[in-house]
Amino acid sequence: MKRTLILGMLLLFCFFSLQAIATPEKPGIGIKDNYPLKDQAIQIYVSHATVPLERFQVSVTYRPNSMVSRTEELGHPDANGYLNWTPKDAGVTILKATLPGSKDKDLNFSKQVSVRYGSFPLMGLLIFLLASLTLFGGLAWTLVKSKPA
Amino acid sequence: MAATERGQWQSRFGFIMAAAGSAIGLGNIVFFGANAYKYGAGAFYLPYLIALFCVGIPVMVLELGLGSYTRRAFPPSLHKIAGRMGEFWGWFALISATLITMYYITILAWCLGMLLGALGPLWQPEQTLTAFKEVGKLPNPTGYFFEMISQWSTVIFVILIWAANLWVVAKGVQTIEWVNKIFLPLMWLFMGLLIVRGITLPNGLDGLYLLFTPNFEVMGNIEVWKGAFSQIFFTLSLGFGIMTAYASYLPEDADQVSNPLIISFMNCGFEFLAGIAIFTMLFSFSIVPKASTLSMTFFVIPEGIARMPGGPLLVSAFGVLFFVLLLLAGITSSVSLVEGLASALIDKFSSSRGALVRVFAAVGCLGSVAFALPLIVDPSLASNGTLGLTLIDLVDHWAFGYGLLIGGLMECILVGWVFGAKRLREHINIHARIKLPALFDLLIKWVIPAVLLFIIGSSAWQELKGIYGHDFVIQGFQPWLPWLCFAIFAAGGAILALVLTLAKDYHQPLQTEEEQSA
Repeated sequence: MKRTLILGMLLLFCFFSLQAIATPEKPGIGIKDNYPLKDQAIQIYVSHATVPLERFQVSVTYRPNSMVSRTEELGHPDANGYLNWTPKDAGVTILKATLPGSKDKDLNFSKQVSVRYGSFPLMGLLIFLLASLTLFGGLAWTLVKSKPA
Repeated sequence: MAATERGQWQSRFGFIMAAAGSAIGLGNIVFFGANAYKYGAGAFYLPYLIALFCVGIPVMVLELGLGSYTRRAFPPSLHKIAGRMGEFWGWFALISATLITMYYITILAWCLGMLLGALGPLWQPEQTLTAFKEVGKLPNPTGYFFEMISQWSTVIFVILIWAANLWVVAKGVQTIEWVNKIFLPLMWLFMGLLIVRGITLPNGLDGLYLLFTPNFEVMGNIEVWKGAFSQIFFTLSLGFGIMTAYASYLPEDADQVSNPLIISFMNCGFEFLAGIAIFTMLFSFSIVPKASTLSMTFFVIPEGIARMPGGPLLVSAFGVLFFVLLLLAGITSSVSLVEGLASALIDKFSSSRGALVRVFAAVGCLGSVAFALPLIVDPSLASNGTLGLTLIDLVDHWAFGYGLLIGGLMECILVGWVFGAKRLREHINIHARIKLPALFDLLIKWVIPAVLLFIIGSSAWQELKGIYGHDFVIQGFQPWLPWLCFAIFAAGGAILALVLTLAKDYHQPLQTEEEQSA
């Protein structure tokens, strides 16, 4: 009875240990939290069935398709496919995992991730107020000043 | 020509609704936010607001003041103040506007096709492409769009949209007025619903922060300023001559300072709200925006809608809402484009509206069908895929990118230097509650022409590297199609404008209010 219990606990330990290091079997790149917060570290995982995971190169592009777009190399994941990332900017970003030297679609994958601000940045709030007051305030002012319809 | 035959707005409110409906189009809903994002998000709003006050509002005042002064459409107005040379540039701008009308209606026809798709098939995960066999399958909504535009059935949609436009234009100004009185409030209502949905999505509010948080490092980049000034010019539909035509249907004592201010603020306020609606959704679903009207309309935003929570019924409902909103905004704009040309032809040839509608039905439909041609020119979809979409891309580059700016530049030069900016300002100030300052003269004579010349010049400089479209995949039509599109715009536009200018003189010039009182 005691032996069975120890064996069971051992099996359970192995199961949880495996689960802790396992990544999804489907090739791809993922993230622990779908909406990471700016300046807060988060774990990225890369998964692939056949290629050693530490061979992948991971990068992030902040604000893609814009004039202020910039790409940052994050390095290689560990043997289990995990890599830490602290987003330096908020907004929509693209995470990419590529196998250097390969153009194979199955070995290059990406994921779009929204990085949260947490709160309305002061300058953003000021611009929002300036634009809305100018446009809607201007409209209201003109309506008041102009002749009635 | 009797005022009754030309028509007249029934109320100032109706006129403002029609003019705002003309200005608010597809670009306002989908393009503005994407453009702002491209040019540094919040930082873009500063050059944008400067452009609104330095270029947008003054040119809007000019166009409405011109229509009010001459009580004619665009080319005859310019004829009145600057003779045949002025009229030529008026026709040239209207021909550019006509080209734009043709493909704009094709895009609306595609919106109609997407609206039908939004009832179900558009939200399927992927689409088998029957015409693009090399591609095989594509995820939706991209797959659905390319399958739709590669079918001849889109021609039926083109005919339906043209029929709607012609019905409104044939009925005259008062019908344009009531259509806008219904459509415009509906557009604000639908936009309100999209905003509420957007900001209530998980992390939707962060999309708002993304849109407004500035990145000031771009402010020193000339491209940002060029983008802001172009955006203002395009969003207010300036250089088309539409506002001049619309103002010509106003009573003589119309206030042409407050009217342009209201129209400009309404238009920019609408796109400000549209940016919020779109960006809250894009952020929530981690979708990267693209600074292209077609990509945003047919791929990016529908992709966001497809991911909305609440089940397939709610996804379909918001999809339908979005495409109905686009159709309402598009039709109020396309009607004004057709009316801008119709009013000019009525003034020039004393034609009846009925006869013009028949001409438009034939010529306009043929033009729009050309832009809907489903012939495959790029089976791998590396470029535009179909001949119609390729033609839109090429013609849009010239007619929209250059035609309007050239029209705007010439109207500023003609009014500022030939007629006199001060003279127009004094005329406008007679009935204006808010008086135009002398700064208006400086802007019209110097600042705006300089800005437009710079934008046109720097764009033309880029063409020296190779004509737009030289690197497209256009099987069977390369390399001459890009050159043909340029020739249609430049040489075709100039020749047709010359023919229309010389075709007939205005024998019975309508006197202006000042001339009558003199």
